[in-house]
Amino acid sequence: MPVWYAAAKPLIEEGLLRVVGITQEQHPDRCELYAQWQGYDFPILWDPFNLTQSTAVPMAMGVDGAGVLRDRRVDARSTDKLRAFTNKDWIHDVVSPAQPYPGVTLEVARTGVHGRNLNSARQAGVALLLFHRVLHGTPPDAKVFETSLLKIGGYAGMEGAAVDARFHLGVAHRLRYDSEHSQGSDFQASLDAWLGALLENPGQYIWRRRIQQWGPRLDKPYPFYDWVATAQAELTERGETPVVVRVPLTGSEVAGSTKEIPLREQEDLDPDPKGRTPRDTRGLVTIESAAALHTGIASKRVREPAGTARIHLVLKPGKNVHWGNEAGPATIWVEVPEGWNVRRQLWTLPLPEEVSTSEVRRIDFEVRPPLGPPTPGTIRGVAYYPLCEGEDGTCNLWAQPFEVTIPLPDPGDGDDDDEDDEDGGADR
Amino acid sequence: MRPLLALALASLATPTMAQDVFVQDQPLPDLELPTIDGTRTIRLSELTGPPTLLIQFASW
Repeated sequence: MPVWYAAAKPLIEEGLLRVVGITQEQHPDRCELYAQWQGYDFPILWDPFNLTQSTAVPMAMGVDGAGVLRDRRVDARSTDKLRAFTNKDWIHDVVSPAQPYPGVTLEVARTGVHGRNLNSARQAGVALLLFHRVLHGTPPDAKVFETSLLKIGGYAGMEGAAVDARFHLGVAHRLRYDSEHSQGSDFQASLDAWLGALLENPGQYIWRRRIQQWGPRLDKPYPFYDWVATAQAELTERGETPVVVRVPLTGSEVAGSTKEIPLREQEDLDPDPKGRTPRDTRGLVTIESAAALHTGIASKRVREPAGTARIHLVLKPGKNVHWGNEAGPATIWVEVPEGWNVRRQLWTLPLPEEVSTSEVRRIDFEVRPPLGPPTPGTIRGVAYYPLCEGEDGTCNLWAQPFEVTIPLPDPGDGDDDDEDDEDGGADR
Repeated sequence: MRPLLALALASLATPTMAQDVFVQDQPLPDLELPTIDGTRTIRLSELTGPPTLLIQFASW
């Protein structure tokens, strides 16, 4: 991508070419940061719902001056090659452009008016979320999320619905999960919807990447967002204020890929084998969980590592409580079923330097089922956290058990897939 | 006919997914997308004037 832009720049300055980008990311602010870091000054469009039906990135297309696609994979590696494209003369026939999603428009988002069938309602649901910030300057509110999810879900659940509706449903759930209107089930709902879509079309690598972003390292083609810290540091050094990354990066989003099957690294001691720590029965902290499966499960040729999953745990303190940081970090004790594996059983969550904080705490780790066909399983564990109630209230160590069920879909539902990695790695 | 059934049948009669959004030697689709900073939209079918290098990518 940087090479293509460098090659295009002289032609842009000569007025012979324009560049427009389309990003296939869930989070536009991350792409904005990347563009700032790279010095991209061309417009970049946000296509989280994959309305352009891209199956691989990066891809450069050549469009003539009349807006007609002339080269689906234009050679953009050098200025000379691009100049050869811009120098061509084309013969034009008058043809109207196709409307792949006639109901996904700014106008539909503005008026809320859409056709009477469920597919039109689905498209209106997508439009409401996609264009909300353009129309109102703010993220969608709870009502908009609810309406959109009902419209998209109503169609996606219909027999014979287009398979991309499931992907759209996953995007909508994830958008709400990353908002202040997040519901605990949204993360898992997004992963389930994306996997359901992928089972129907395993060759759709943009859909696959959306799961892999939060999935196990064995399944990752690249780290995804390991560049963020470097970009922020370099922009600051340049005297610029980096675009704010609104949603915190999870461990899975910066972890590198691996070919090694995760094995137990060390034997940890159960911090409370007799269960003496008082249980947080009042729900002072809410624990949310999600399991991102290896996307190999979407293919018929399921191989053994496809059973690996990345577990995400989120600890949300309620109102009128705060973490008692002086007493130490929160910890997670994990127990896996017989024959399953986890790198370690005791995990320590990051501890802020401040004495009293009330931030959401997150951790993600991987589990692996026994060799053989994929099997469902339940991961059980206990979260331990020092917590204080009220401004000057008492502080106690609390424990809260949790369970994460890993339901594995029937791989027989999916199509054959050769699993060749079409987008070929981290060429941005 | 019950309203729900009629609605479902109407949905099935609607094209559910374009086969190909980008077709060689055809105009870009009439598809509108917001910019990543959320300040405006661009309609692909209106990208006329100088030739365009349209790049599908992700920061990863």
